[in-house]
Amino acid sequence: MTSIALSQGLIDHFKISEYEQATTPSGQKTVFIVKIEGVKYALKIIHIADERFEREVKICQQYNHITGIPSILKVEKYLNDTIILEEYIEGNDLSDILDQYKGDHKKVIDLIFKIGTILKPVWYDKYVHRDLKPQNIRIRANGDPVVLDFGIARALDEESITATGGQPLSWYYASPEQYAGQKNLISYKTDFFCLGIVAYFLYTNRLPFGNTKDLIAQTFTKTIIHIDSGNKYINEFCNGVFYTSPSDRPRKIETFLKLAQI
Amino acid sequence: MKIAHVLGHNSNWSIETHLQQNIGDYFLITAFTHGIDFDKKKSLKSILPKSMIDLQFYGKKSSGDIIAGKLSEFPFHPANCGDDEITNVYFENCLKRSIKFQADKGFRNVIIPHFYENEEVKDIIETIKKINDHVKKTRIEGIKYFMTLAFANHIIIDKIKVEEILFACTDMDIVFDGYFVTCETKPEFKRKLTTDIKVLRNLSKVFKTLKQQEFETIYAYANWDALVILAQTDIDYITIGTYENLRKFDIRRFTEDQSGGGSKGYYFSEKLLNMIRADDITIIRDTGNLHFIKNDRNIFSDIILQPGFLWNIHKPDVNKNYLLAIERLLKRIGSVGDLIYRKELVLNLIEDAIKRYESLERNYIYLDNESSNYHLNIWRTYLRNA
Ligand SMILES: Nc1ncnc2c1ncn2[C@@H]1O[C@H](COP(=O)(O)OP(=O)(O)OP(=O)(O)O)[C@@H](O)[C@H]1O
Repeated sequence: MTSIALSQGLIDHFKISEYEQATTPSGQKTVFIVKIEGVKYALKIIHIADERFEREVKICQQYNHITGIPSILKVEKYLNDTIILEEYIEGNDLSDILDQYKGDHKKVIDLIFKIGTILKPVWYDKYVHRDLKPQNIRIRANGDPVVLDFGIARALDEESITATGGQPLSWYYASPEQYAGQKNLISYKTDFFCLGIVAYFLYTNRLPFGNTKDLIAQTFTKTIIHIDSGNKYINEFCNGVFYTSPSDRPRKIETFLKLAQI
Repeated sequence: MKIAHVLGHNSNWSIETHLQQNIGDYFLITAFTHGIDFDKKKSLKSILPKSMIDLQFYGKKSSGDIIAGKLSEFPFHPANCGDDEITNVYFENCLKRSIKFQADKGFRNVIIPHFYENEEVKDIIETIKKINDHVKKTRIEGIKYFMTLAFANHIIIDKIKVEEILFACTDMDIVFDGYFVTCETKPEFKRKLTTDIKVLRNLSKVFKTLKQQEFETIYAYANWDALVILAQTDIDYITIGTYENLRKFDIRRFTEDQSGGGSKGYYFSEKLLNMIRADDITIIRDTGNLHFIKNDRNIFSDIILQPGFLWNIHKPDVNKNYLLAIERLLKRIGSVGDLIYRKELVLNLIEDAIKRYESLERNYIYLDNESSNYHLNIWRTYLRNA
């Protein structure tokens, strides 16, 4: 991992006593786990500093009360960046504990149900995560999921029309409408589809539509893209959301959640 | 599935077949023909409880291009709109009043009109959302609300535009009970049905998706190609109609004077799944091939196939033959619950019709233009791949 150091100015400004870098910085963002006055936080440096982006992120503070979404404590402009200070979630990234889910359909479906329940109020308000993937789901010691990156993925996507380079698509877990760049078709049903990919991946540790962008794009030109995971329950859930057209996916959140129940 | 008669010109024929032969379950009154006093007409009174009304806002929203028919009798109809009133607020108000009108008249199924000439998808969607909000606030218990989707040809052939509309129609906020779907198919010259596979595919998608999302669907102004769509999905109401302009949604009907001369008419053959020109019947009969096309157990067919029958489109039996034959076909198809079997049934009907065309040719009967087999191969190709 390429490491970068936090500037002394920033350390002083936020009264940071300890820090470690969480991920390799991408073009748009670097994440640090920091300690401030004895408490751990996730500090995210987003290399965009405009009002609109900030406003978009702040919208998500209305969900601070939801335990499955980390509270955003501060959104602040700092030099040319936007700094987001977020509640630290103890636990593991789902991507680091994949073996615990492989072949266990009950555990997978149960997890999806919990994620759906977390996002339910968000979906009702017409917000969409847009980037659901194992790296963005943190699992607490008791097994409960926490959905990371909600505000940022969303805001970055809103922003990407103007942001230089745009949001790099995490294409492994993207929906057909994201592949096709049809922004006007992005909705809560986009998240439904992505959770189908997550479920399939957790159960099989393979991707449902192939390992290359071309292969996936090709699959998404078909109307019917049903899969076989080798498990009846996983199939039922996945095929309930794997429709190329968003209009064919479940219309009601309750219907979606029902699919994620055994 | 219910079969609904479209009541236009000579609607008494349709009502007669309902009362006497038990054809059809429901009625669609057209505002253009019947006007505001539809419920005072003696002939319509008895069937009013089984009716809905299409107020037909199709004509150009932005001008007085609508030829009135009886449309301007409805005070809220955009046919009355003067040029100075052309605002979105005005039109929304027309829509809202049209809903109230139907509810006040006691209709249980309210058809919310829509402008065909909302050219842009975004305008269509905006109207749908506005009216949805209105219905959310004003809905009356016991009434079902159907939103009209009038697909112009340039929209129905465009998969992306269709998806955008369906996307809006299947949002979680939608409170409509169903959709009243009509589609401009634009058949080629000397054809009655479209052979554009894009139309078949996209229109089928509309019905399949809406049903999958548990909406009730009405296929309005359907021609007999409705059976291709019914082969793939349930439809709650399919309309049947006497004259061609009741079976083919065509905007010119509302914007131009179309009263043309009468033709001799056509014989709808259940076995060929086609309309055969009256003039072609003579040669088929004279060469002893009538059995290839003749509708069985159909008294109207029996009458009009008699030698010496003077064919005319304005004779009731010519039209009633179609009503009986098409209702039977649709009911037979709709009664098969399993969609895999249902599609097989329709494919068998198509294969059989193709064979009959071939048999006719072996007997040196070559049918051309509308009477020819111009549509069955496309249907077969489409359904086999659907
Ligand atoms: N609130 C948090 N609590 C604990 N760990 C966090 C928190 N936020 C982020 N992390 C850690 O940092 C990692 C990266 O964070 P995040 O998902 O926001 O960015 P990314 O993976 O770099 O971006 P993207 O999701 O756009 O690819 C996460 O996988 C997780 O390990």
